[in-house]
Amino acid sequence: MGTKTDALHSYLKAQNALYRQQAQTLLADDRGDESHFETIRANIFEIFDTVLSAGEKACAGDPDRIRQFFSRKLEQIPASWSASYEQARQHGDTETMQVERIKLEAARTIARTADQIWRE
Amino acid sequence: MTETEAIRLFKCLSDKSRVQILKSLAIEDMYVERLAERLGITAATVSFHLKKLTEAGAVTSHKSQYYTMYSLNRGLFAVSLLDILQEESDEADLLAQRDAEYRQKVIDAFFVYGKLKAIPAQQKKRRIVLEVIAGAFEFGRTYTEREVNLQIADFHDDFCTIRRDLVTEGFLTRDETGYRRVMLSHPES
Repeated sequence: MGTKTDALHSYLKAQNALYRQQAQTLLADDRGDESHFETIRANIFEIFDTVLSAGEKACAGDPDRIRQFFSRKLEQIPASWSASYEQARQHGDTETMQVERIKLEAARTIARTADQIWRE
Repeated sequence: MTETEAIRLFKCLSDKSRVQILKSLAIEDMYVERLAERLGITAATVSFHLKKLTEAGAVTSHKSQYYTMYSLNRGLFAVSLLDILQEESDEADLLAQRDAEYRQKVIDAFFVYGKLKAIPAQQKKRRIVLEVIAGAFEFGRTYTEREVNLQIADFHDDFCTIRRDLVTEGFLTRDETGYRRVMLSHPES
């Protein structure tokens, strides 16, 4: 499990670095808003990397508990983003919708990858 | 075009994706998916940019069968930069504009989708917030206390404090018949 947690950390760090790099590239290409969106996406990977570290600490290295902790956070944290997206949709607030959509997409990607890593 | 409109337009145009969307629309009207395919960005991102371009007046939209088609506002782009630079703005207009911007900033900070997040502690901001709430009351109509509370509850749960503040700050008057909205002698800023 230690290696699986390590694999998940590596994935989250790599995605964080990748999207930050893309944000830089977009900014250099005068695409400020899209660069901002990629930074938001990178932040989500960074947040969940921190959550995973917190899980390791809180669960004293117990693999099953770490997995449960991380899965629970992957449901709890995006719940407010879904609510915010729905509220923005009702008010036609495209900018907030776009931001919340990116955060939710990133969380879903992390959930899928974490599931794969833990099932391997 | 006013100075504010011009600045908003220029800010909006300082983005490569938006310029490319405008270039595409200069060729012909297009819908979101077509633009997304053409520019290699997601439909959601195109919609985001189109919203900004629409707000800046650079683009208009119309329904065509199943699609919302977007068109370049050619009239806007026919205005010369020199015309924009030669537009005069007098000091009174500027002051009014700054006041209006400050007012809008306070409203944006304290209201989320029409709900008051918190009652401002600062007097100037509090008056702006109260003025917005007072706007929900009709002139010439007498309201019972219950009606006033219900009207305020649409904005914030603490209707007692806000009702008292509306009277204290002179937005509402109260007598034995009920509450009435006060017509202010000068517009609030």
